[in-house]
Amino acid sequence: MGTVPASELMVQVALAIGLASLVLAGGMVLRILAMRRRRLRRQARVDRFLEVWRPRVYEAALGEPPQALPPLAAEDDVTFLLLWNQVQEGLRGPPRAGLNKLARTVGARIIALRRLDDADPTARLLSLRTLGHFGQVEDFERVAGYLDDRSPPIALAAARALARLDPRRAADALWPRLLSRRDWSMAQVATTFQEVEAARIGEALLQALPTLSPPDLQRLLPLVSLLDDARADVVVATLLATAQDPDNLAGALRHARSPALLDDVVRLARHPEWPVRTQAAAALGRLGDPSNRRLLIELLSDPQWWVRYRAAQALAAGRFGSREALGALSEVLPDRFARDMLAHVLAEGAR
Amino acid sequence: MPGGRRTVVPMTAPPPSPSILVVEDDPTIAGLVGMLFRKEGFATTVLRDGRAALAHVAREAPASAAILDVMLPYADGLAVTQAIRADARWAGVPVVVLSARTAPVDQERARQAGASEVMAKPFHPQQLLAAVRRLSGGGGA
Amino acid sequence: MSVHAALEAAQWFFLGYVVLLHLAYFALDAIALHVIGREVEATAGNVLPTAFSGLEPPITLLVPAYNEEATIAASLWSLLQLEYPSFEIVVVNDGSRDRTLQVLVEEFGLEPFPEAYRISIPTRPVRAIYRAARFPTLRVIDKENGGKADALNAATNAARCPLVCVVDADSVLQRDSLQRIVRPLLGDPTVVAAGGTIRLANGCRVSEGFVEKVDLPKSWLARIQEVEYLRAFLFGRLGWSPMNALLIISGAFGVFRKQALVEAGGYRTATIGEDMELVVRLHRQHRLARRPYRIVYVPDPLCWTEAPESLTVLRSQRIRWQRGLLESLAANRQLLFHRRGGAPGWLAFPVMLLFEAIGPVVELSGWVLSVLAVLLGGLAWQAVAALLVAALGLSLLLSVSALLLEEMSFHFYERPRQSLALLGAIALENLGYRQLTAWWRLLAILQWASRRKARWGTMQRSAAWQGKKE
Repeated sequence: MGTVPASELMVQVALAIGLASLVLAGGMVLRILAMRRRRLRRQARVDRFLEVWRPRVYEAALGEPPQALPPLAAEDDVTFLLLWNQVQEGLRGPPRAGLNKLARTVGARIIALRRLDDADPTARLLSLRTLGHFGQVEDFERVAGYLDDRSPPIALAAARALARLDPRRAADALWPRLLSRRDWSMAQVATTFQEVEAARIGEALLQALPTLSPPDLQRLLPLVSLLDDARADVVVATLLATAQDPDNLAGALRHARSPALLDDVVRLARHPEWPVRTQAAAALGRLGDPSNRRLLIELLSDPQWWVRYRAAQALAAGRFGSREALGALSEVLPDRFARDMLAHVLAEGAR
Repeated sequence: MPGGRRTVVPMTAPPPSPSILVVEDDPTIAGLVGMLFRKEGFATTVLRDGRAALAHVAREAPASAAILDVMLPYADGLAVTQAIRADARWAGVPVVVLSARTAPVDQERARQAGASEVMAKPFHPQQLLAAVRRLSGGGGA
Repeated sequence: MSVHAALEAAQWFFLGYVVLLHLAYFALDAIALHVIGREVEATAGNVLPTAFSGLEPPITLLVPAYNEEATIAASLWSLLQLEYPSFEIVVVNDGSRDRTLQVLVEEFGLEPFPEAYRISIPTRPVRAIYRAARFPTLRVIDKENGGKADALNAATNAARCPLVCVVDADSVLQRDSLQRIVRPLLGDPTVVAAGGTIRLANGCRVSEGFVEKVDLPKSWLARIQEVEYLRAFLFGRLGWSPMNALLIISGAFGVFRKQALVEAGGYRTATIGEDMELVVRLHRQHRLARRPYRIVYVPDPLCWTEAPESLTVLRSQRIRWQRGLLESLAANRQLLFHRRGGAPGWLAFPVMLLFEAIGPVVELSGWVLSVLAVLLGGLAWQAVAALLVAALGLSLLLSVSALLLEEMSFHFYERPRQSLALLGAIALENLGYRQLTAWWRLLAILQWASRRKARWGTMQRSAAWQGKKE
């Protein structure tokens, strides 16, 4: 039997698909090679730039008298900002003056303002950082516009820059975003806020406490660790007295430091939810007094592993008796889980 | 102990000119610290990871002082500090540790490893210079 | 219907199948190309040194180990150097018959530790728990052999941190891999799991547990696998992730919320593809219960692994993977086309089933039928040749687009000879390799169908690639 005309169509279709694919693939290979060549050339340019400019920036940072600078080409703008920011962020003190002087000579602020809308996200990020170091108060509005940028690193870079430009206004601008920007993690935010006056944050947090919903409150609680002790105590005290949500109670207990809160802590050590009991046990280790020893021993027999663990750690922290006394205790406790946990924790601290 | 392969520098004689060992993996900071000390007349060796540092300590004559970053590839700054203290020739070399974490517990760890001083990052170049001068007994041009 | 017409219909069917398969993967490809810009953007902050605030959640690394005496020490030394503010490591010696435990005791100064061990997930009995004298964050669980899933469950029981990161004993991570893979879970409490990118260490210079220099593998077998991995991750995962339909997170490197893992029931020990089964189960449970969740792939964090260099080891690996795939799908078949199944149930699962699970059967029977038909004179060789051209062309296009994605994201290859070698590997893949792996996968399907109990094939440990320890 020979070929039947109907399958001619299939052959043609298949061949067409095959050839079209080959052509497209060939085009992609060319694109890859072109991208690569562009990238390698750009890298070579960056390397040459750094070789010339690195010593210059170092000299400026170390306070050397400024030498004549080579002209800064537009393509090297962003590389300069990167180098400058890296040195800025690595040093403290007088180098800033030297670096700012260099920045002024080179026109860094103009560059940064120009590159704020660059297509490359790294360029935008570096521009924001530069304005933070070297911007002027009138740049505040423009930078604040980036607080709502779609990309979290850029928005956070804007936050950081604002904190340096005008700490007071920055705190006011940042506060609403703390709640609305779900893509900011508290860990990232904390790095930003170390720059801003913690006082403003504390006040804002206190004022907002009654109005925050439990999930919002839970989100913001880690920030309490940034506050100074006095302010932290006020926030924690308010929460321990008023909050209902067990996660928020636990979160507040985590930051409890002042012995004045002891009564609340003792009360919460018997809370029905185990995360609260856990943090209460941990808090007792920090601010309890010897009269709480009995309570902690009770918690050693709690049905939840974590409560037992924190209670054992609290006991071993030192306020409630020597390690030998605790070792002796672990022999006589009737509850096997309590004995095991105490032995575990004593072994942990054995160096 | 020193073998016959390299020139032995007697421990009692002072080094010909003040020298410093810098170990830092961030190229920007490494270059900066290198330039800082070179300008002040130190013979500066800049290394970029813990392994190279350990090899250097094992082979080369001791420097007047050492500046170590804590976070280094292959062997961290504290391990290098311990190696320095354990080496017969390098044992007396003052060590300044640069660390991004300055909580008391981190400072304690550094001191237990043998660090002479712990300095926070970002650091103050003049303070670093002053610390090195003070610890190494006033070297420099 | 005449034999001839039947054969022709079959040819159309095979052509259609090939086109459909490639259409599906091109769709993923398009999504990946679209998304990769956003991913690169998210890493814009990487140029400046990382500052940790101390509020980062602590992570427990889970390291299951079976007969790893040659490499476990080097692996752990490198894991201890990860740049992350707070993490602990739990190694599980799963009843090794070699000196794995002894090596650990000697290298790290392990001492018995009276751990108050809590059994959230039942496992085979634990014999003892140790802690490293010099590294209080390193603990080792010694237990009776129960398989990788069982070992991971035991490690989870001992984990103290809210996040757990699963790694293989021979995974080679970068110093910043941990901080990068944890990013999606930082701000978004609905993210329950995240996977990173796995690339081949075969040609790389690995020293003391870290990759110093990236290069292509020397052997063609490994080079072909390199292309496979690029396809699998750079658009396989990157394509499914935005739809929240990512069905696989590799056991070599993945991060989970501990609570989600425990609530899901831990890893399933009755299966050989425990990493995939867990993820499909997480999808099933959350979708059916209408609980909001996300499982994501982040291309940024890297993990390097050794690919098989011999056909024997490759064979056992591919059989294991195919069986794992079938078991994972079968165990969670409720998800398929379920009312509340969403993208996983209506897109990812069917695609996996149709093209990955059944694929080898269709492919091989297609070739066999075509060849037979030509030999018996029922079909012109032109038809088969045309089919071959179509399949080859599409496959080539797909693989080259993976190379394009690589250039846009990691761009590890600088020299033209590397790209040439990859193109060569792509060609070789289609001229024998695919057919061979399809045959092995068919065997796997038969094995699974006959419900034979699997034995985890022994993978030869070649210590040479780890580099010499000083």
